[in-house]
Amino acid sequence: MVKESNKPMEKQINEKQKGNDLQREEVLRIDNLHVEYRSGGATARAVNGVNLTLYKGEAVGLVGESGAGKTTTALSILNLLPEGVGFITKGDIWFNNESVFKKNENELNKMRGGQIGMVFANPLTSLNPVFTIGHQVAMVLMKHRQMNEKEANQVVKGLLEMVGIPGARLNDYPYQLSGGMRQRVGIIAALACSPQLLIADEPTTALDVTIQAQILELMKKLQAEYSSSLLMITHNLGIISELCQRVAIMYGGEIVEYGSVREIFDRPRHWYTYGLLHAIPRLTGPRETLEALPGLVANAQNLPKGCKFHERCKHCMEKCKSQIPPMFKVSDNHYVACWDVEGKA
Amino acid sequence: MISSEPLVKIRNLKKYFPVKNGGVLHAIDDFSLDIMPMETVGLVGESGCGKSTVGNVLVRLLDATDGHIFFEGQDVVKAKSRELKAIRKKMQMIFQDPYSSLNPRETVGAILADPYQIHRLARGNDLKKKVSELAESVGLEPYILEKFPHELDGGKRQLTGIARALSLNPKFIICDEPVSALDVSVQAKIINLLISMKQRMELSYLFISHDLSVVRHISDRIAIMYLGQIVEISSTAVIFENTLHPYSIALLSAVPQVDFNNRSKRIVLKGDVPSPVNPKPGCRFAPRCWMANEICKSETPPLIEVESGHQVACHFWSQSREQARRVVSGN
Repeated sequence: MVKESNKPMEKQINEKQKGNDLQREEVLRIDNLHVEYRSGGATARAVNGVNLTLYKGEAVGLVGESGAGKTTTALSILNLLPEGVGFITKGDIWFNNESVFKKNENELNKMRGGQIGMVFANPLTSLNPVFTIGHQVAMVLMKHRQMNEKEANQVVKGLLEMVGIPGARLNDYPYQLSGGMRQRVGIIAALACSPQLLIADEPTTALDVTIQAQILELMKKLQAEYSSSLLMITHNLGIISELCQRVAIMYGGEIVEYGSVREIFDRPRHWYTYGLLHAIPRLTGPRETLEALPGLVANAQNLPKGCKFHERCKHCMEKCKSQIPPMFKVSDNHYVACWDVEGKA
Repeated sequence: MISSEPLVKIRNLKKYFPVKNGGVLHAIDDFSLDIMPMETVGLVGESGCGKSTVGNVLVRLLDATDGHIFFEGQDVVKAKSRELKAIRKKMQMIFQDPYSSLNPRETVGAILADPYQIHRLARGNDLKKKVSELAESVGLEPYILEKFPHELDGGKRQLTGIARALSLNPKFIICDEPVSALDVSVQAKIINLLISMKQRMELSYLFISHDLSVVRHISDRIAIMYLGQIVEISSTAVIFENTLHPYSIALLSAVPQVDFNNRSKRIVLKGDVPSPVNPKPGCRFAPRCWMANEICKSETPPLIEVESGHQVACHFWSQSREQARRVVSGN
């Protein structure tokens, strides 16, 4: 049973959850976000109407290929889009029911690192090479928790040891650490003030699997300990499956499918999600021929009309070429923007 | 049955690099491997384990410190430059980053013409025809031949790299992380192409990757490397069903899986891969091993055959699976 609805899916979910789960505390709400990059006369429409809500203590995955708009969405939350190039053209982002875009620089700085922590993909470029790692983590605490250097260093030592780095390495510079250690420093810097929301943008992409396993276990543990919410941005569906309760699939700057990880991975309703799940080799089960998606990721400078995915979709209908599909409700915890909702086996 | 004589025989291969303060980095240490005609061997390991060095030494982009590499019976390690040129016609390489491995100042057409010109195999119209047939065989449209590498997306660049490797009808291709830099949907296309080319051109592959799911998908046999040495090697099915080396067990359990069913409990290894400079005696995995014993710190375990075609280098291989069950259940 699928019925069409004109309401944004977030509103529907909110209404639903108000009904059966009053304790669910909303931490972040992205409301019809549109972002453009303008440079040299060209305009790239990177994010085109994203709606997403995160509740306290939950982990939500944001999945998509390069250019889908994942990182742009994350940077918008922190109001960190490159100045003069990235523009929010429509929509709003609410953090603790306050608009991020209405905050002044002072309030933003309080939010960044204090209430929202961010872990970046490449720990070598996101750590400052001329400061010791201890100093960089301590700075966060001195700024947001008004600690003096001595107090902060004590806390940092404890944090380092918690992630398996000897406290004495406080005085090391980033280059003296291995990639895995640097990423762990990036994570404790993001978590030092026990933020309500942790945004992790491909936090393990540069790392080996055994180190990735360490980081994932650490994030699970810390998330449970501080009951922070997690927005996990990755192209790795395995990480989503193991870490997140809900997932949003992005394509061409839009969320095309959204809801429970288990439900979506077991029975995807968007042909793009279906394609992604059938394009990756598995670690278990029979070896089946991979289904490659034809063509290329939609070009943000020249997005197709109608469904952004229609040019690559094997099941494209006439309607798909001209009309943008609305969000259909598949179940209470599963929404999809595809005209061919019932098509998938 | 495939011919019983290996196409590539690697014997006790060593590659050491001198480092500062008189140290010696053991990138490859006593590495032996056979690759049969039309066989795909996956070489898996984490960064710094020496898997890419193996590939580079095989095509003599690096010279071996010691050991032998026999390709169709001829020792690559000792080959003189003219012999090497002939060997490289049959032994090619596909690189991870197709951008840095394609000449930015040549068009795709010129890049694909290079091998024929270097080996004086074609010229004029014949060369043009060969290049366009080659491009077509990997699915590159004719207009791509006029483009420069920087004008192409990652997938097309990698197709160019593959076409170049296939140009001289090789028998053996070393694929060094050929899909790691690509998006999922493009990755599937490249993997499918490599599989169909293998069948069509009767190729053997050494498929080097850190991605176990990809390696499982494409390989007939898999060798798992740790700090310059093979710790376990077997057919793909056996290595996933009867994993015996404690490192292999931990590595397989570390991969985040999409499937909710039959998901294995994770063994999280402590610490990082130790430095390969002046390695200590004993098993190299011992400092991180969850079942290491006194003997592991003093005696290097040899790679021994524990069942047909399945070799493991661990003193306690017979107990590892039982112990792994105990570790994940928390005792």
